[in-house]
Amino acid sequence: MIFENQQVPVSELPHVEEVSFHPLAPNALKARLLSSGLISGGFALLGMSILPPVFSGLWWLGVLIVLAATSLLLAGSRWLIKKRFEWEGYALRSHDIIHRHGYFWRIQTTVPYARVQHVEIGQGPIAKRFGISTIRVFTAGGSNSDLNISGIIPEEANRIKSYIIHKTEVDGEV
Amino acid sequence: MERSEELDFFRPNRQSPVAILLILSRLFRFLFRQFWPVLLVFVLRPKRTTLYSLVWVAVILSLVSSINSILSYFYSFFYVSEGELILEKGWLRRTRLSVPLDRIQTISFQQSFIHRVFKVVSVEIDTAGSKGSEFSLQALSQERAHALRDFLLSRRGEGIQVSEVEEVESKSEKVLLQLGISDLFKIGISQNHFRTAGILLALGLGFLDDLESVLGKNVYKDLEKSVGSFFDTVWLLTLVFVIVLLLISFFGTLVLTAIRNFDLRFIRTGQGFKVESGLFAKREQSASLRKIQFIRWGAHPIQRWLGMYSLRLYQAAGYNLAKQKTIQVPGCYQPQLEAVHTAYFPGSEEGSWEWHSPSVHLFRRRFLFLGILPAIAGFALGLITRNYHFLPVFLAWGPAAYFWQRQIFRTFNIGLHPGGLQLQEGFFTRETTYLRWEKTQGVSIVQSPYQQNHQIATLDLHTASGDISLPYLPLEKARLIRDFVLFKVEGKGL
Repeated sequence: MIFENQQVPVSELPHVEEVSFHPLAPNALKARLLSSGLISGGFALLGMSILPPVFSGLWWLGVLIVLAATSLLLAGSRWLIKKRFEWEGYALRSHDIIHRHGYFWRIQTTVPYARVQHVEIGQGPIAKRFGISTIRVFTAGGSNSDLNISGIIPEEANRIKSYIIHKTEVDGEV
Repeated sequence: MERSEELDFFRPNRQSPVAILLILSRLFRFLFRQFWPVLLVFVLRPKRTTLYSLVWVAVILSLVSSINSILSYFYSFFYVSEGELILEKGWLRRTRLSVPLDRIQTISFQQSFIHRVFKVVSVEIDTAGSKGSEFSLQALSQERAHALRDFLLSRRGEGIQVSEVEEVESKSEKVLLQLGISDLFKIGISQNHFRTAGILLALGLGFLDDLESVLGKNVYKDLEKSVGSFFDTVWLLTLVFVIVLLLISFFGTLVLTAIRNFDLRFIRTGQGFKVESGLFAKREQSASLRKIQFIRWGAHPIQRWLGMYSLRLYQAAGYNLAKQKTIQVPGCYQPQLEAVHTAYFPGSEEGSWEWHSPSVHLFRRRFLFLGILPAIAGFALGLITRNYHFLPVFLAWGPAAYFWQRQIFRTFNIGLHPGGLQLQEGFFTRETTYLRWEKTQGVSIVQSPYQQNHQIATLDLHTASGDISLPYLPLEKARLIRDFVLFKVEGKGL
């Protein structure tokens, strides 16, 4: 085993795997599906304005292709968004915050409160309709170590923010 | 020495008037670069009247910008107020840039040729954590620049970190390394000459393209005609071309490196390290030990033969990681490495290092993607296009890639220590990296679908100067290292 030379035996190290992750608010899934639907709709419009005129005589074939491509895009993104939503989650521990996301590529990032530079809460137009916000945790480590958790109820986001800021002050002092 | 009231940084200060000259010289260089084809044509074919208008545009542009830069000089001030360094500039559109003193991270001086003639320096002040504010003064007299640096360093820690101020103020400087002529020669030899050749080639082709669009002649064809007649075959021409190119790049890099690293001095200062170098343009970069995130040194075969390493100190960057402040010292020897190593990572010699290697899947994947797949693709392409000359190359590619990746895999080792991490990697260029656990800003475990299937993961340690990636660790080990890093970063508070 590694680290046997430590005062703290490996078995006593706090394990990230033991925490249970909070799922995102159910509305976050709806918001994401809606925005992917809007994007697909945009693609469909774009396709409709290009393909049928190009096919001229066979315009109905162009329409068919655009419809098929759009429904494929819609179905694919719907599936991926659901899968991603199922796996995504966050957890607050006494000294750090953990965020896991992704589906094919799974990423689990942990940021100690002592390293947090500042915390931001944001809300886009779609998120506003669904009553969810995004919480961003910035570190000095650049975009790879910044957390970006999108899909939390505003009151909870505010609570998390003040908790992190409080913990950053406490942990960062030493 | 100037009188003390002239060095009062609480009142608005102006830059040295040399700044005007510098702004103008930069402006004219820019204009020249934009308009040189026009000028060339103007000289070669003065009859084409349509070009007159373009020349007038250039003249008017330079006049307007000259007036603008002179006026903006008189409207630019910097001063310190309420714990912030403030730069106000602009004539029509005023901008105000402020940097909190305790955020200041590096203060570096630079001297171009013009700077040296007028005995001024340009000052660049960098911060971290805040959103990319960077502060630069184009010209300050040397005395004022040094006074400003001392003033800022003494003010920086006010109130918060008193111990650090003492450290900062200690003036003890020790020259660790001063490069002599033979060192310069060695560094010059061990540079990457192929890169220079590539740049030269690209520049040359670009230049010929420019000429072509200006002169309306196909320069390649002319060249080929005039030069090509001397040689019987294209092969000979290519060979001669390649040799000449390599020779030019060899001597070119030699001279350039010698100029750039002339009189290079690597200095241990009270709070960190400092590098000064340059023949025409003097550079000075400094790094405080507290801001160094990780250190890395490496040597390729030629450097190993010369007993030389190139050392890099990765400093905390501003908010924008693209602007990393990495300090590079080419041509270090073992004693300098040891000095840096013990300063950055005291106690790394004591305590045992535990060595781990990545999973063998790393080798398999890289061999598949860099060896087998390109070989098959190349072979197939050769067969389809009936171009059989290159088939042996692709046949040999597989075994060569096997050997190469095997060596890379074998030399990749991860050392763990109570204080930090050590990476040993590389086959041609062997690199050593040291990272202290405290410098970690966050940890990520990343798994691709393949890695999920094989219970392996890549562990990324994020620092304020970029990521350090430990690829293809067994999942258990990756988790264990992550838990340990977190314990180390957070444990200080316990």
